[in-house]
Amino acid sequence: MSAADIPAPSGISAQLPAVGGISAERRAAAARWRTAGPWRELAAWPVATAGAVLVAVSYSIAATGTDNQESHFAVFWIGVLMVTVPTFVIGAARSTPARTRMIWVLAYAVFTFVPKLLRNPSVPLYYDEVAHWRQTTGLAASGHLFQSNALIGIVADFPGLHIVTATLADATGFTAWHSAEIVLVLVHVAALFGAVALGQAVFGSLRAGAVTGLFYSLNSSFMYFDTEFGYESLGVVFFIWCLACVGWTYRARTRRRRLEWAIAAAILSFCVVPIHHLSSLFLFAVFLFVAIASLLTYRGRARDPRDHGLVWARLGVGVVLAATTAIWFTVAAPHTYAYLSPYFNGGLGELGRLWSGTSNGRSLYSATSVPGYEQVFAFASPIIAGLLALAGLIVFLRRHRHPDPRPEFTAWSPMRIGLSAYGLLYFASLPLILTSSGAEGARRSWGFTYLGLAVLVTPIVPAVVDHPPWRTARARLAVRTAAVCAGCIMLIGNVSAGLDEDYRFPGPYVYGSDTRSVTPELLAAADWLARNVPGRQMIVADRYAGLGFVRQADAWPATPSGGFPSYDLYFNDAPPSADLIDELASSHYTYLIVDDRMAHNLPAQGEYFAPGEPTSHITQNDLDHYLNYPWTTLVYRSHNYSVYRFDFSGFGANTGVNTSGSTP
Amino acid sequence: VNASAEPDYDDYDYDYDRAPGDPADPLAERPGDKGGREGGDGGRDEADSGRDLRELARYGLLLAIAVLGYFVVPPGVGRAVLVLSTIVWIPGRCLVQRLGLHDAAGIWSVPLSVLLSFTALIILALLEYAAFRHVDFGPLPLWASLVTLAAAACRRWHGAGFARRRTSTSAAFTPRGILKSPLGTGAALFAGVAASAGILAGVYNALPGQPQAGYLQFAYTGPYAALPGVITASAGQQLAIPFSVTAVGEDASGLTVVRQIAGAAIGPAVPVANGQAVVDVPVAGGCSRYTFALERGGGALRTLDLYVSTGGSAACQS
Repeated sequence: MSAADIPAPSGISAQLPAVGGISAERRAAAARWRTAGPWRELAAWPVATAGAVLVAVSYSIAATGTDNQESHFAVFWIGVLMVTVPTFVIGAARSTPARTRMIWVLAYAVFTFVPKLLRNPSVPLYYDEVAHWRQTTGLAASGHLFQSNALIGIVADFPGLHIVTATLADATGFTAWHSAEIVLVLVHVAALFGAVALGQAVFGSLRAGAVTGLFYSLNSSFMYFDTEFGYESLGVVFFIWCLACVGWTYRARTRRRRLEWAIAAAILSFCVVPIHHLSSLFLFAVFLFVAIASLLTYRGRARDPRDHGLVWARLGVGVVLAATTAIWFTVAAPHTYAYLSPYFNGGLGELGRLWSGTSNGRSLYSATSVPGYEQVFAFASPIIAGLLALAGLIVFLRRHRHPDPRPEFTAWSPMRIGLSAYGLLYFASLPLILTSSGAEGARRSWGFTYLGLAVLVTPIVPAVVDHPPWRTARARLAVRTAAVCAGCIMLIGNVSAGLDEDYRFPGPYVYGSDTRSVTPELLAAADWLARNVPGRQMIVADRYAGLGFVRQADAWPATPSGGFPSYDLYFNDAPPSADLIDELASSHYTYLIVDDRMAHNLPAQGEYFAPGEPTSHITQNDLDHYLNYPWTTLVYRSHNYSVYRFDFSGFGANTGVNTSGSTP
Repeated sequence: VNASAEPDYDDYDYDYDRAPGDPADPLAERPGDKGGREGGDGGRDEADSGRDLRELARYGLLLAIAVLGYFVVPPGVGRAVLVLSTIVWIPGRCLVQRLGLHDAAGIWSVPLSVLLSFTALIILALLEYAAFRHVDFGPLPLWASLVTLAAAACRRWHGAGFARRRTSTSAAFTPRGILKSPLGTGAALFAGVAASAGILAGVYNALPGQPQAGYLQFAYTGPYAALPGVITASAGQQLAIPFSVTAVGEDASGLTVVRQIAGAAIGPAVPVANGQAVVDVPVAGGCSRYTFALERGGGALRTLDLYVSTGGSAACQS
């Protein structure tokens, strides 16, 4: 039901004069909202609750159903769309009062946190989550920043999220995980509000801001990836809010206001660096685009005296960010380049080979279990975004033919131009999804580039909704319905493209899945180690068992590589090389974890340990030959897991300690 | 679609939530608010000053309550209620006030305050770590609140003043007015979220979850769990080796532990009681490999190894 459906109080249009450029007709529509009562605001919570309950039901169906069922997808999307559709309608409608708009946006922001919250409400589950959670617990226990991380080394160099979570945990007495959830729900809501605030700053309208925010929320990271306990979830919020503050410097009318917003932006830009590397780099990229836009549009803006002054303040924000990034990446996080470059260089190299025809790309959705409509929508989503972006570009190119009544610097600020141009990077990243090395990086970038894309396409939505080419009421309704449907298609497609089913839904055990490999049996094995062997133990394990042991026992799994091929222990039935033995002994690795299912299953995620591992299959003999050696004592056995204790002393390895002891 | 025309976004916001000239919107500037040194204090008056002081006093009171809660109340929900404001609100809100954005930011000052609170915590932690190489996270938000509160008070003291805020009117005392006031809106939203969360939690817990496969684990326990590989003992010594057996979703009845040396059973089977079994093993000379089998009805379910040497581990490795 739209505002137009609510009858106006008799004669109200005639009684209301035009005020502040607002026509009597619009004021009458506003009055209709007023007389409609607060039910549209209050309805947000029951609707969001009902949607969340359906999401919970879909998880229950997925957890208890058989492998080939798809009904949980349908129930999940019914629940999500139950909230999304009215939010799109009310958030983007012209007649919605600010308060109602904000309440629905708030309810939508809280609701979009629910799918990830219900996925693992009480323990970390995703690979990155376990790494960050362990980092936080270590930080809270010791008070020492920059501790090494067992799973993702680079995490230690960016302690912002861990500081906030450890502070909340220590101050309140909550567990680190519950503290993390509190932080995450706050920053998730703040992220959507930040996108709305940015849109309002750029376009001078809360409605446009809501459109910007809702469009941004369609990105593939918003519902799952940026709600997991990872540094990006906090970093992206600082990224958005820093841009929002810079945006408000363009909107502010006095020097003092600009300075205040600029200082706020500078503080946020300073703080984004110790939180997350990519957020800092993407923020810097946006500043570059805005600076270029400022230079290119300088002549036009110079004639407007209201845009003068405090350019240095905006410049200062960029300088603060650049200086902090340079210092932090040099002093505190010197491994950042080495960590990020393989994704970028590898992806580009692979793309080049793909282009030249010397290699085959990834097959998207190969061996997937997601329903066909999700796959179709995933391919349709960039196309819809492309069409909208094209329309946005046309608006930009023809802006002088249809001059806006507002000042040029307000209507087409460098912020808007720069952000729009930056948003086009989304399309530049799309080919990388076809490469193995670049796919992950491309997906990660969408959470950032979609903000620019949202700014680019925001003017198109009101243009389509308010002024469709067909003037009949039925045609207008059709156009608006189509607009909402397009948004839903983009949401479904992007979420599907962002994460596979194992991450999104609970379900039966899957070997080689970060999220579906965690079983009570694995956790019991890790519990046994934690309970009986005090202190942090160095272990050799496959990726999935290792994850469980890190989570439950604070163990330290080996990170195999070409220089330290610990995976060789699993890929043949001969004793390991002397070099490997020496490396294991000198690094004090004490336990070998063997999952018998390695011999019978291929990992769902494509690797047993890490990229670069041998491509041959693991046999049961490869796993069982440790029963025959006195340097590997079997100390734990369950149905699938064996735990061996290393004793390298017989090899004469340089262990530094005498590992052969007397009677316990 | 005439996409080349810049759309007219607005929207009925202007005549609904805001009277013309009302400074509640960030776009609106107050008469006389020329900014900073150019324009004085932006239209402050005595009433604003009093409200500012009251707001600072409220934060000071919240901080005092948080300090009390941190040191007196045991960890948990009770303490969290008392100290949460110093983590997610007071530092950021004071920074927003210090910057003078609490008026200009309007509704956005709320998420901005949360983020700036996190900023204050991060910066303070980094400074503390740089100074002491250690961060005490528990009292960190109390210090952050104190520092930012002092900064906000400093601004007030030096006369920069706080900007004028929209004042509540007598309409705020009507039921509808109370609901629309910031406090009423916040309380209503909190109640809505709490009710939704309660319903969701109830449904989530009532729904059937993932059926989990059972398991039977057999392991050393006590000091033998951390045995360092080949153990050294003297010939004839009697080792008492403890085992733990855990059965979840599996039959735990009739389990025994059988000791073997070189494949031959030695001694009677030891029954498992309450998930525990202690097996005595006489140490033979040289290097011996003992195998302990968890059995039921003569069938081995799990086995473990133990290498014992009377001549050091080298005797086994060779």
